[in-house]
Amino acid sequence: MQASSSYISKAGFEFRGSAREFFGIWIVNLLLSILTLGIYSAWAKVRTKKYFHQNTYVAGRNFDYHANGFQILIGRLIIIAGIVVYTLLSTNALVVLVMVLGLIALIPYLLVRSLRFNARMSSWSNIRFTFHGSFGSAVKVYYLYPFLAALSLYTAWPFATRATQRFLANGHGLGTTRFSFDSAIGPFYKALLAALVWGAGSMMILFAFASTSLDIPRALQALEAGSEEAAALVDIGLLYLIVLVAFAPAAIIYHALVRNTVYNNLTLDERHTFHSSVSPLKLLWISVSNFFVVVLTLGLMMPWAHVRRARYLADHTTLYPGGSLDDFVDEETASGNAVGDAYGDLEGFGIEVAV
Amino acid sequence: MPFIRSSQGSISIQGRAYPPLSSREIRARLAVGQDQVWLIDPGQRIMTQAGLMDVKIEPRLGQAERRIILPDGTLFLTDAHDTVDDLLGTRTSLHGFEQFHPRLIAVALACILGAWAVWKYGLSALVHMAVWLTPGPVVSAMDQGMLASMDRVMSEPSQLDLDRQAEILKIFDHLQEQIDPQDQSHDYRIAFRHMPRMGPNAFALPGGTIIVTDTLAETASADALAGVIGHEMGHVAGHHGLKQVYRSVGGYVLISMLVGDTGPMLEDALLQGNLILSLSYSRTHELQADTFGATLSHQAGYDPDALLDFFDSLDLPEQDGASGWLSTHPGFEERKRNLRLLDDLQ
Repeated sequence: MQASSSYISKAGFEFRGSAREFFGIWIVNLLLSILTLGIYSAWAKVRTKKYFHQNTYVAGRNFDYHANGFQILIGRLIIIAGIVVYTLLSTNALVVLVMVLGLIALIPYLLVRSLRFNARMSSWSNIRFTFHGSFGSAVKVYYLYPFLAALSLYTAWPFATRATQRFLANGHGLGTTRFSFDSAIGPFYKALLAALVWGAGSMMILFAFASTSLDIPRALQALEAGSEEAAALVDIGLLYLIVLVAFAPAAIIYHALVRNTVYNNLTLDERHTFHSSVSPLKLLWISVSNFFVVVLTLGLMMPWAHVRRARYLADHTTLYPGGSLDDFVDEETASGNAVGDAYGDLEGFGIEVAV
Repeated sequence: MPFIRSSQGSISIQGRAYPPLSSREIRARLAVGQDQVWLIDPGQRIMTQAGLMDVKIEPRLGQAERRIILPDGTLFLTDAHDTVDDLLGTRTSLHGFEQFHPRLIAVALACILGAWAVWKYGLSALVHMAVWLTPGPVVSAMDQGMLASMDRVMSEPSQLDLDRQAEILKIFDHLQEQIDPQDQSHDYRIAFRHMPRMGPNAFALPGGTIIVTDTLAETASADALAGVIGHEMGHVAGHHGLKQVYRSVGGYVLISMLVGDTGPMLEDALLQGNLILSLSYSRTHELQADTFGATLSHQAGYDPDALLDFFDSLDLPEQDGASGWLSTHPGFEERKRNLRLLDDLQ
């Protein structure tokens, strides 16, 4: 076979799964997880990830997910064993302090392991992804830069975000081919500004409509003690509303704009480029309406909500190939399934790289 | 027969193939013989072949293309699910169960029932285990941290004179003597604070620190103080503070483990909502602490009825005290009944 010299110049991402089909998979997963006291949830997680990976296509070729439930289960058991050991050893304050410091050092290591595991367990067009980020960079990205940003009263937060995205995007590869990303800081500040406008605006509207002025110490204290006093309940409700109306949407807007920036400045092999045209407000609408539909149906519409979101994200992501897509090559080791990888995926350390 | 029979007498499945470690996509067909398979490219050349037993066929997942992996690492993808299952005998009951069918209504009902059982029993078991696993030094550290943040936000140093402080410490000592020696795991101590907005009030922190406001110390009788401090000690002995924290976190962990990713907004709502839901347990905790406190103060020689009188004095609507202890310790009608019942028993 000869590789054709002509190639498509534009290939949209598409999600081919359906809510109806995923509902069956999801509800059976849930039932089996409950019946096995949570043990099956490791396999359920794999089945769900496989469903979303395998149904996402770019240029007619789909993604895949290759981990098995056993690997996920072992990762979880290691976490539980770690907590038990921590408890048994923590007999005095000094030992606790030493172990907490140890844990702080361990977290970036676990994050890198987890990113590497998730990359190697994912593939597109028969080629596994790779992750090459180092422990040192993880320390900088997750401890140093957020700390410096906090010192600047969060005015330098976009720099921390850009550093994180550089770490994630530049660290990833498809087989022997690497991704690369860089961007000016402007778009990140625009994202922050948009999030701030939403956060501040919605809070002003909220306070204008709230009949009682919010008394945060009283609300927190009432929350702690479980007061049933009406005024305190209003305060609790208002706190809750602030999180849901101001903070959560601001975060969604920020992430949507950052996602666009990352994809629009991302290249693969320095010739394939990407484009993301996610509208922050549309994504916010999807998240908000998903939220209400899921809550009102006692969670039963959650599969529909997931599919709807996945489809929107796929529909607004495009690949512009700069050459043939037939030329990616995988490394021999990447497809290997070493036991050492078994503890790669530790629950709670996963960072989803938006597909 | 629903299959295409080729000239060799084998049956073909149409699909696409990728050579090992390569992204090169090739339209191909998999010819299945008696105990052998051949992967054939559009030019009718054999790309690879293998014994039927050596071919790895992944289980079906909805309509997603079926993955068939040949021993040399060649990947073959096809959406001809029925043909694959008929030829290779790979039909799974799991896929059958997952299909959209009225049976799923029963599965959904079973899930709701199961979720309720998990919430009711599983979570309690988990919370008890977590309380048991929490190291003592961590709980003490929580006390110090919470006290420090209260001092920043809403409390000032006590303005109580030392004599009154000594009197209250004496009541506290009497009560502590009565505590079951087997429950010496807690480090009970009293902290006096001036909290003008909290009225006559007392709080228990998980590690055993009991905060008494100046207003309470000044206004309550010795018997009432014994009742209130005993009640707060009951919260500590019953691990109520830790249980509420774990219940809210545990609910979130359980949901994310069973249901998986819940989506951006729901995640926030669940994290906060669990905190609020966990408060429904506070009523039970108040009753338990009342029983503990009344018994303790009775054993220490104080009048347990004093707590009831104290309730009544706070319950007067025109008094400032109404925003004190009772407002942060809910369900007092029920609790008064409980205390009267206890009284009768003693």
